[in-house]
Amino acid sequence: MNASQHTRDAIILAAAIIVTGSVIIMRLWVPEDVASYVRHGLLLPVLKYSLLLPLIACGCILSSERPAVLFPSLVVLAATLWLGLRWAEPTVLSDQQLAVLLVRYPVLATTTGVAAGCALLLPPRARRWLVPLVCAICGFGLSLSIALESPGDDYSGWFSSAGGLGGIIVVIASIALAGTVQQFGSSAWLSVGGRILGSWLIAASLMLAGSAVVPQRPLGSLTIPATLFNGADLPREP
Amino acid sequence: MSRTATSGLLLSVFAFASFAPDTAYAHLQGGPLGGFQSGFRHPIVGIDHLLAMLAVGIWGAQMGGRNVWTLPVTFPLIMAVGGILGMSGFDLPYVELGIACSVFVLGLVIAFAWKAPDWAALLLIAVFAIFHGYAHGVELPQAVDPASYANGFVVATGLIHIIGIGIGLLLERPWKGQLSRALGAAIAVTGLFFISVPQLL
Repeated sequence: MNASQHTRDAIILAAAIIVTGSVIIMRLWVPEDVASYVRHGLLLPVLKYSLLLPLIACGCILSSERPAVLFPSLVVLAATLWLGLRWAEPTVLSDQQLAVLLVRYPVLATTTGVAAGCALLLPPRARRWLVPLVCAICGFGLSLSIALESPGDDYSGWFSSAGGLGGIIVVIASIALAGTVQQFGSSAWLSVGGRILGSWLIAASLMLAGSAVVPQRPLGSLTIPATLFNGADLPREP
Repeated sequence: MSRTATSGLLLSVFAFASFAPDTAYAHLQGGPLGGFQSGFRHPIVGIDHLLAMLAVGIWGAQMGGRNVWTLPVTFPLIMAVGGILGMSGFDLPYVELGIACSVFVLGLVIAFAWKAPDWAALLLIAVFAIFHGYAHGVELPQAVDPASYANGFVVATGLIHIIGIGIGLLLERPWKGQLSRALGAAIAVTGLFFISVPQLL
């Protein structure tokens, strides 16, 4: 673990203060109907696995970096999240064809998954220069996904901002978790876990891309191949 | 992590959780071909998948060195290729036989503590991963939420590998690894049973 104890603690405390403060403000001053959008926006990155896994990967990658890489990468993540949310409104959401294309073909989930997965598979020294780029890809992909998931009414801005904040919280929680695991085990074992997580991400992304390209079959249309076992003929459905 | 930071983290998690919505998202619902949960269950409830994937982790731990992570990393990556073959409707023959053989062969290599060359171990794992991925991939296009389904079964696969690595490392020390080899023999016998009684798969 290269990020110093104080650096990690400072990031976690800052995040804790922001989250706790936001919750108090929301409880006291924000109307319930708006708060509902904020709640759903905050939990979107946690409940949508195609967003959650790349963000956890980002946190795991960042947890092993020095402050010189960690802080700029966190800034890049936050900046690309904000930029993506600002860009999504006038472009993606106004261009129905592009929006449909992004939803129909999971370009965002596949790109973020493969980028984060490849970074985890690389040795720490080799990936150092890629970390800000991976954070940028994940931040931008996350913000576009949030925009596409947005309820699309007057309060969509609340939803989007909360989604971005939720994404940052997931990354910071992953940094903290990876740091905590590090204290009970060796960095070698954390590296093994990270590589396995990277392989999950790449495999899931490839499967997801494959499922989008392959035409959807209706439920019940699956036929068992005749040569499923030992070439024995199985009874086919009429 | 210092006590202050831990308290801060717990406080923020509590605040985050207290602000959670009462309703869940539809794609989290389970079901035979639902989202994450059904994808996650798929490799676990199938004893043939479970044993093969456990065996991959145990074998990696038994061989030691880089193999601890190269085998469990290779398996899902190649499994994805098999999954895409399954989704595309490609007619891969002898799928169930391939899966049963994977249980048998992986059990055998653990039982004999085969220190295979890296390329041979990876090749063996890759061939078997194609069959396992194909079996999963056939179901994916019908899933209600393919993204969550794919994530679910890939995560379950990885977790089974990690458990396998843990079991392998745990059993490597007592009695000079004889327990690990005995477990491998038991897996091989189960695989042989699957081969001889294919109706069970």
